[in-house]
Amino acid sequence: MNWSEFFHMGGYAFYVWTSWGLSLLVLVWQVLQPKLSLRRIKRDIARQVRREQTHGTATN
Amino acid sequence: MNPLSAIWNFLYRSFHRLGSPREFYKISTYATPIFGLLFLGLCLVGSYLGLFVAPADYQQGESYRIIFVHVPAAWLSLFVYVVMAIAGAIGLIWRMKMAFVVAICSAPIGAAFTALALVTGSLWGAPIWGTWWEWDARLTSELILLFIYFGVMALYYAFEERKTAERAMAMLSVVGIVIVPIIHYSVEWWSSLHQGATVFRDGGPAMPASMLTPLLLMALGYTFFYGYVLFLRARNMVLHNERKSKWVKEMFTENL
Amino acid sequence: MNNTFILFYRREWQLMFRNTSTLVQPLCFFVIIALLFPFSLPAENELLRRIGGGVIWVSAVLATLLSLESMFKADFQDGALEQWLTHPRSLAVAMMGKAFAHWSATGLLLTLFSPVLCLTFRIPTEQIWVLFLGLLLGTPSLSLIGAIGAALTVTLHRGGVLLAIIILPLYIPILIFGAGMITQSAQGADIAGQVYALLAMLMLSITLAPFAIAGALRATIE
Repeated sequence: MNWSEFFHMGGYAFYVWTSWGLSLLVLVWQVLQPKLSLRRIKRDIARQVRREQTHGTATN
Repeated sequence: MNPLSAIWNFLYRSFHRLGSPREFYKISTYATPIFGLLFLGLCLVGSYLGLFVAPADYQQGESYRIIFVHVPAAWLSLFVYVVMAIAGAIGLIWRMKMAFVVAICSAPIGAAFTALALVTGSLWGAPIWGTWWEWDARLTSELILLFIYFGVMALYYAFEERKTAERAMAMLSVVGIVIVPIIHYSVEWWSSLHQGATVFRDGGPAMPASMLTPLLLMALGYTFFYGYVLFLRARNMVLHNERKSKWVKEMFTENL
Repeated sequence: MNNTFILFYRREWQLMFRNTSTLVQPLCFFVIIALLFPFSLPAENELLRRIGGGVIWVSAVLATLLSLESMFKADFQDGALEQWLTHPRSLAVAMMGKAFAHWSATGLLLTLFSPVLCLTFRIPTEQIWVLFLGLLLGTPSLSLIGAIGAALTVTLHRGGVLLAIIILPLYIPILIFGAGMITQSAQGADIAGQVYALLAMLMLSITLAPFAIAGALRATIE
């Protein structure tokens, strides 16, 4: 099997590759989203901890 | 002690350990990458077998290769819902914090895979049936499932207080699991009234192993992917929810 | 147990008769929605006759939905809801009484009025009774299932749209069987299957929904 034939998918290239591409996109997005928000959460908690240390009390 | 009760005891204890956010966070530190690796391995092998090794279908030609991304997504759309509803029920009955976290983190994942199943199904239907959308039982009930996911998420985000939001969304997902099968069968009945089973041929040729193996590998891989993302999301949520507790703060003072 | 049901049913009736707009509004809404369709479609009697049953069903669903939002609102605001939660009597039975009172004021009223609407759609007489039977069997389930959504959103300030999003998908089976009855009978086919399906769903909602309503109230108020 040669590559151009493979990408041609027997004339169904658009449908097959859009499906696979979208699936890949959704998978990547599903992983990226929590990883990105983890960064924000960590930054927020670090800020909170630092604030409590400088003020001495954990009133917040 | 006999081995069965030993296994039971182990499961019982690990269930209770996982019930504590702190223990969950600790255990998931190791479990998360394992799930991720299992997903990667299974799906890479599955994709290779599905795209390169499996032969073309004698009726649908190469277009059938959409099945390897479509069926696993559709499988997850249902599986995630069942997990979400069971976790919600556990949370409501035993007031387990972690069960709510699992339920809430499952909703967006399930919704994403439901949408993916619909879109890939549509992309498959376009060349084979000649239409992007059929008012077919499976398509319609999948669409309704997507709306139920949206409803569950919308309900959760509508509340300001977290505890109320958790309980309300858990309640709705439990109600949903009673009604989802009814919706499915009623829709099946309804569409069979309108049109014969011309679209989905029943009793087609049994799938040869060369096609079935990649399909099962992909489905299993997707399931591990769900576990992986669920862990990622749940860890985030645990950190955020427990940000005022001592163990989270200690973790961050060490890092500072 | 029966006392609780009757107590709550009666209490709701008394409240509704004190404020008759709660009785009239859903009915008006029902009629207006149904009458929008002839205006927006080509004026062909045959078309209206064919879609009439479905249109009336959709209007009944929307009218029920509209009336759901206020179902627990007043009880929540005056604190009655919290008292029910702490009272030793069965909350589920009480909520069943409340749901049935809601049905009497909306679903039953719509059902009784539906034959008149059928005439404007030129639906033949025998199908009017089919539609009547379908609404009679289907609308109690609408009230019971809808009450779950109303209980889940009672504490929210603007819960109306959310209520529609969470409840409308759950109404689909009832809509399918209810509207299917008319399609079937128009084709001269047997409607027993749909009647049984609607009855089964009614039984299921009567047995399970009260507990879900009570659970939903406990989940959101506390």
